[in-house]
Formats: sequence, C-alpha cells, structure tokens
Amino acid sequence: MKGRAGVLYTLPLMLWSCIFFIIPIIIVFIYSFLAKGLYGGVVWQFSLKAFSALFSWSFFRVSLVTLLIAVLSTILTLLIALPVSYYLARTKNNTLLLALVVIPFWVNLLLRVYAWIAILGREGFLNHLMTFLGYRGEPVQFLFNFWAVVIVHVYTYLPYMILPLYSNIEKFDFGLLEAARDLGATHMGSLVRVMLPNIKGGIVTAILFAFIPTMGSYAIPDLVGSTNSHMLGNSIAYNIRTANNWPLASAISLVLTLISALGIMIYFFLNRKPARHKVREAP
Amino acid sequence: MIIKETKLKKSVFGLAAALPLLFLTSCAPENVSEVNVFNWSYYIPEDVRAQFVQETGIKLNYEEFDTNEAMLAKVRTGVNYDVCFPGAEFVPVMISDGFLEEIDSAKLSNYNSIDESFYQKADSFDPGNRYAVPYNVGTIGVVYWKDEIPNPPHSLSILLDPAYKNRIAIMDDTREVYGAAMAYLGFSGNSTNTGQIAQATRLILRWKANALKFETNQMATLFASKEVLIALNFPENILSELDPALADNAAFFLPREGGLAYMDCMVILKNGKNKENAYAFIDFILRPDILARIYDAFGFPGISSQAKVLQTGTPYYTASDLEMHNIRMPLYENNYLYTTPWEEEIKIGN
Repeated sequence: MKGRAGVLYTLPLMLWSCIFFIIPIIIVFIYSFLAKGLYGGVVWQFSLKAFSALFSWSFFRVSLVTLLIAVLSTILTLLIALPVSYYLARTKNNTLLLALVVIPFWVNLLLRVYAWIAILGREGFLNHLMTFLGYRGEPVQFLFNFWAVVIVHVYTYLPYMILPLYSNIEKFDFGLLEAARDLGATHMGSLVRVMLPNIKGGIVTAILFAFIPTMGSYAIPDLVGSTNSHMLGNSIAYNIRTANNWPLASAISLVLTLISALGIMIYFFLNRKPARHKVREAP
Repeated sequence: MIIKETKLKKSVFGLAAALPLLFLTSCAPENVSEVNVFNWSYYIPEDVRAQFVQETGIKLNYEEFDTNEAMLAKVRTGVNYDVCFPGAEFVPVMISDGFLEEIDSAKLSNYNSIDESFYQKADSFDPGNRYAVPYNVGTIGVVYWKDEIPNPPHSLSILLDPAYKNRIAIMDDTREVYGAAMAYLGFSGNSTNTGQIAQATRLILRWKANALKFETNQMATLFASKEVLIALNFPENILSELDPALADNAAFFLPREGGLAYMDCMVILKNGKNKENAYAFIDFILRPDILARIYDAFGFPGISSQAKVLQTGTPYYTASDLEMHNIRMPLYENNYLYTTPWEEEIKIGN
C-alpha cells in the first residue's frame, strides 16, 4: 500500500518530465532525421541531410567558439565562486550575504543583461568613471566583443555555482584543515589537498550548472556579442526563424543535448568514488 | 494533520470546480463584436487603433510579430486571426496552403485609395489581386548622426569607410542585407545566380569586418546611445523611437545603388470567425485620412495619392526614390541560396 502511494506521489513529476522533457526530446530526435519543409516545419521523409550538414567547417567552427566561450566562462566563474562560497560557509551571520547572491534570480535575465549594457557601453558607467578618474582618450569599447560575452556569462551563472559549492563546503568538517596544518601543511596546501577533494561533488555540480546553460546560450551573445561571437544557440534560432531548416536546428539541438548528457554522466562517474570511500571508512 | 489534508483536498476540489468556470468566462460570448488583427510591430499607431474601436464599436484584439516566418508559424498553429499583414514574398505560400480568403473588393469602399500602380505590382505575387490589398512599401537604408557625419556619400560605400570602423550596425536580416549588397553590385536581390550571390557574400563580409555587430531588436537603443553612428536598417524602427530632442540630429538616406523593397499587404484569413469585421477593419485602414496618419507616424512615403495630399509630415524618402528598387519576391526552394551563406560564411565566419 505504502509503495503504491509513493508511485502515486511521483506521478505529477513523472507526467511533468514526460510532457515537457522526454516527449520534446523525442520530437527533436525524429525531426532531425526528416526533410525540411519549404516554409518551416518538416516533410515526413527520411533524410540524413541535417546530420551531413554537421560535418562542415562552419559547424565545427561555431562549435569551437561555443565551447571556448563555455569553458572560459566556466573556469572564470569557478575561480570567483570557490573563494566566495568558502567565505560564505565560514562566516557566522551570512544570511544577508546569501540573500545578495540569490536576489539577482528575482530579476529577469534580459534585464540583467541590459544592466551590463548600461555599465559597459561607450556612454556607460565604466567609461564615465574612467573619464572622471582622468582618462582622456576615446571611450573604450568594452561591449560587443568576445570578452563581453564571457563576462556576462560569468555574471549570470555565478549564483548557480556559489549555491551548490556553499552547501557542500558548509558540510565540510573544518577541523580537518586544522589537523592538516598541525601535520605541517601550509594554509593553501590544506585547502587544496584536504578541502578540495572533499567538495569535489559540489565542484562538479557547480561546473555543470554553469557549463551546460552556457553551451546552449542564445540571448547573451545576441545582446552583448559582436560579429565573431555567434554560438550554437544562435545557429539553432536562425535555422528555425529564418532559414526554415527545422531538421538542422533539431540536429544541432540533439548534439547539444548529447554534450549535456555526457557532462551528467561524468558527474555520476566522479561522484561514485567518494561514496565507495565512505563505505570503506564506515567500520 | 488529518485536518490539514482535508483542507488541502477541499481547496484542490474547489480549484478543480472553478477551472471550467474560468474557461467559460474567458470565452467571449458570441454577440460581442470583435476582430483579431496580426500585424508587424511599428505599423499602426495606437491612436489609430483606438479610433477604430471608438468609431465602429468593434473590439480590436491586436497582436504583433517581427518576422514573416514567425507570423506564418503562428498562423499554421491555427490561431484564429481575421486580418494579417504578410510581406509580399509570403503571400503565395499563404494562398497555396489555403490560409487566405478571397477578398471581395466591392465590400471595401476605400479599395481605390491605394494607387493602381501598386495593385499592378502586387499582381506579380497575387495574380488578379484576389487575396491581398497592398498596405505599404519600404526599404532599408542608412540612418546616421548629422553632427558626426555632416556630408555622407549617399551610397553604401559608407559601410566600408575605415573612419567608422566598429561604429556601424547592420540589420540582422538576410534578405534585406543581401538585397542592399546585390543592388550595390548591380544585381537584383531576387536573383538566384550563385555567382552573383557569392560576390554579395564577399561584399557583406567586408562590411562585417568594418561593423560592430548585426542587430535587430536593440537597433534604436544602439543608435540613440551613439554606440553606433551608422545603422543599416528600416528608418522607422530607429527614428520613430528617438527622443524628439535628438531626432533633429539624426538623418536618413537611401543608397543611390537601390536595393530591395518590401511590400506588405492586408489579407483576410479563412479560419477567422469575424469576416465582416475584417472588412470593416481593412476599409477603415484604407480611408485616406487614416492612411495619411499611419504613413506620417512612421515617415513612410505611402502608396496612396489620396492619402498623400493629406499627409503633413516629411517622409524619410519618397515613393519615387524606390523606383530603382525591386520588390522582394518569394524564392521558394531557392531561399537557401541566401540563408546558407548568410549563416555559414557571414554569421559564423571563417
């Protein structure tokens, strides 16, 4: 009786993920093997044209640019998120600080990107500040380039990294750091060799939370990017909206989904080891 | 705990019971007269829409789209629009897919307010003018700041001027930009000659190297904040958005090389439920005084001589300026000749 009730309770969630996750992916999968309709849509006719288009220099190049932006922004985000979440975990009254991390979630992503445009623009805050501080040259072009795309991604996904890292570091027994230092480790050494391995799960989660959405990013390169920051998400949008090539858009989406799935598999693989470790320690 | 659960159940049941009511109230009773219009953004000023409601008593449900593709996709899903404003190149597919109702011109008292010459042009994509009433023609050109560029060449050569490196934004629209590039090279933007298109691609790549970015939605903001000094775009999308204090300093020219002109039409959709109101709406828009107000609001030259005499504003360009322009025609299965190099060579680059 109890077991059946459990299944019943998960039913809404199962329905939800079926309707909004599994079925759409199946549709995308099927569409990627069909021929394109003249004005969008698909023709029910088996075709590998979409996948053959993926074996091209341009697709390779846009994937490379996307990967580069995703890897760079994930690394930068991690470098900022690690010390911040460590500080949050070690601070007694961190409610206000945590709130400051979470509050940006309440504001729509587009508005936050527009805020960056107001900061980095030619007539923006940063250029005005530099003029105020005595800079006398032409305004600096901070916006609409490769690095603006990276910076805005770092900003956007920083909270997604800080929260899982914080919850992991908070559970960490800081007594171990003292023990390591008693045994002769330096302060940095104890953090790197004792704490980092223990919060590995949190780090991998954090990386996935930033890396996967960045790989599928569309609005950010569109808004703050330049003529050389076209990402896979923009390619998908173009093929849907203008080129009327839904099979190609589906094939690109499928590749993106596979990359994300690969990331999650790596996550499970890396998270398996500490679990086994614990079992061994238990007795 | 038990109490809580029953409370929860009650409220869930309550909600479930209330749901059908919600649907009932959202369905409009049949006697309310309404018309569902699907139009481009920047195309009918709000006060004109309000006047229609006031004069006719018909409730106007007005929705906007920003690409023909998005419009067609939504029409395909079966949304019940009564009147729609497709671009010329999308009229044939809407006819052949059976979305359009034949227009009975006898029901439109103002049918002849649009100049005969534009009905003739529309004949090329709507033989016999059976389905579409021309609404407006227009094109992209160069919007610029006068104080920064006092004497611009009235040519697209300005896009290659190194003095404006990274201060140029180009509209992110495949057919429009190719249309300009093809015209600059002396070709038609409706051409399907791959050699000509390849030359245009190389030209756009040179424009790209000198430009800051390709842009659609933010164009007005980019220009207003002087992030760019030059924008290759529809003038109305930028100039009608500018602060009046700044507007005097902004100007527009049509490149002398010509280009591709869009022609947008009014059509009646077959699955719309309010046919009579659709006629009433189109006839209202076709009234010369109303057309004049619309054309003035967006600086359009207009395609109606009867409205022309009532127009008080100065259009950004005149209808005769567009004589060099080809009307943007559908390319059907050859559309990829433009979209593939646009995406692979221009947007992704090499």
